Amino acid sequence: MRLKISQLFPSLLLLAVSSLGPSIATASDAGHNNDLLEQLNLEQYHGKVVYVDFWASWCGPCRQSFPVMNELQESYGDDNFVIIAINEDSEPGAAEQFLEQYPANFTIFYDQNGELAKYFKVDAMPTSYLLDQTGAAKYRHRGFRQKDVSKINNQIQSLLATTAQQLTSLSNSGDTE
Amino acid sequence: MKKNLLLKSALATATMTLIAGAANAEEEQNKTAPASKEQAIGDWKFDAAFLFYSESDSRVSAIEPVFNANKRLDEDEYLNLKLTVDSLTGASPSGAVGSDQPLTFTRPSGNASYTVNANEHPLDDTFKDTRVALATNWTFPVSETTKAGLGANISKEYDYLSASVNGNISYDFNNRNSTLFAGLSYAFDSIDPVGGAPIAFGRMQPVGDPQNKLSGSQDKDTLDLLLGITQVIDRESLFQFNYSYSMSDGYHNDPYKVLSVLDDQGNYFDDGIPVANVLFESRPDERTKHGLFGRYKRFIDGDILDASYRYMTDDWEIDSHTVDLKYRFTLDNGDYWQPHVRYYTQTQADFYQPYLRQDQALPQFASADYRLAEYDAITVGLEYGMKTAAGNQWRFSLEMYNQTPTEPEKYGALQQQTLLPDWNAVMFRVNYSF
Amino acid sequence: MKHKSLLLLPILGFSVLSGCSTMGVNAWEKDLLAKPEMALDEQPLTDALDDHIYFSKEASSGGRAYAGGGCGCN
Repeated sequence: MRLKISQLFPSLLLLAVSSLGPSIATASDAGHNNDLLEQLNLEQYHGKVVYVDFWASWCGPCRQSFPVMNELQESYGDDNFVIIAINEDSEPGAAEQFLEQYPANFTIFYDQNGELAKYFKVDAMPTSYLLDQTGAAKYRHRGFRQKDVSKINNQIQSLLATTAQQLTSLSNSGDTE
Repeated sequence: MKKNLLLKSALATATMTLIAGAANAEEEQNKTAPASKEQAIGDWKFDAAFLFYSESDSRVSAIEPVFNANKRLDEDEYLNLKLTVDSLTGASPSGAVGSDQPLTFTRPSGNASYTVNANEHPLDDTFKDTRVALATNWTFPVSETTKAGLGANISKEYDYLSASVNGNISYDFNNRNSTLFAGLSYAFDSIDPVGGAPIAFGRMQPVGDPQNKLSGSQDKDTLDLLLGITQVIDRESLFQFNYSYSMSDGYHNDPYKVLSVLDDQGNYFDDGIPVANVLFESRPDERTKHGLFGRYKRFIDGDILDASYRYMTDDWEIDSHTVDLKYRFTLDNGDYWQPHVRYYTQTQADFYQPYLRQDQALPQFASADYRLAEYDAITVGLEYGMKTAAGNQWRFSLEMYNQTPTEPEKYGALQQQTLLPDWNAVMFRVNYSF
Repeated sequence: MKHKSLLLLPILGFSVLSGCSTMGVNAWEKDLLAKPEMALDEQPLTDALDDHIYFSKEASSGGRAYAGGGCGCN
């Protein structure tokens, strides 16, 4: 019997995220923030590599990260890659002002009250997570530095590559419907 | 005195016109505050400031331009260079007391003299000097949570050289809500006074006579340590708490300051020498200071409160309290008005003496320098800040400083003199960041 | 006598440090603290000019430092 991954998804995500480093949230947190998380609906990106970025207009390094994210979108956008930039501004209009100066060719999601940031245990600004094609968080970057860009590129490429093998191995693992 | 008042009102008018003009220009621009300029890697950021300082009663005046250049070398690495020039003119109290007779003093060079009129507070106007200082600082990351800094400063004026090096480290923890800071600095000061350093308690000699002064420069070493913690309280506020320690060793005298030798009537003791009977001061050759500093900054609905308190104590028995308050009223377009109040009070040094008496034994150390006396001081000021459309920041500030010393005990003829007069100063400052 | 009270410092220091762990905000709530006006070193030139005046005219100096605060980014 194969469990529907979408049912396990929030807990799997939580587990994957907490395994990346020190964390303070408990399993009970998973229940409260489901509405925004459902709106975000990361399951729709199943089969794609997802770059989730937490940013805010007041975050200096975010100004450098946006042009880089546009480049990533251009390099890998056609290749099962998607960027979701989650904005943490609590002041209305601040995000818009930022986007006028630093336009984004990727999805912006608004988390005005920080629910998603809390759920994802964001402990630095900006924070980015790279999710593999099954939706598991594989890499986390705290802060944004130019010198990390090549590493990010390598990580995205490896996540895009491994999936073909994963899918093949899953179908060969002997699961029956 | 009248000249000073005229100057002050002229300054005030100039400032108001400047500010009014800038404010009018502002109304034509759009109402939202211009964004802050980003300093990309490799970019330079500049700050220029100009200070004009002028004391009452023909005392000291100074102009001090400063230019600061900051280059972003890498992600979290910066190089900072700052050039300061300060040019002083005017007269400063020599430490001598007034008399109902005119007084003649020999200038520090020993080649000329000056006269102080009867019942005037003696000021020495030999003070024209220009100082140039260069400060460099390099800040760099050590780890994700640790930053460090190294710096060197050099300052030179005609008779004074100061060179120092400093290092510091800061560590973030508690999810970057807390920062620990430690800083250490070492300074070497060397003074080669005009005319030579006086012998401690040496008697001032007339022009032409041997001056009783030492040749060569006098040095002082200073070690400063600062430990601090900065803590975010909540979304709107943070506080800082520092402990500072300072130890200096060497020549602490002001080679140009004297103490009057008086008789039992409160008049200058006549020892036959045709120049006022004053002895050059003598201070201890060591000083240890401890300081506690606390600061609180809070964002209040668009405005900002900045309050700090400092307590300082040392082994010269000087204790001081400083309370500083700034409140920034931010306007819709990002401009601001910021009133500022500072209150300072200090106790006198244990070797502070407004004068010496011929019939009393000479103490081990003594100085009549008004800066070591007991006094209160208040600063009241107003600053106006505005950003140009390009995001460059102008600041204009006008402040008044008023020092009210505690008049020491007087006897005999001295009661007709003011030993520690109140005095005040006007400070006008302009800053431009671009 | 007053120097003995300085022994309180390490005690004060430790209690401040342990109390500090209960204060603070989440990384994404630093919007106001990130404002340049909220930085402790917002006006280094002005602070230096003031320090210089007061150092020349008063018997106390120093005590200030600038680390911490801000957006805490990177």
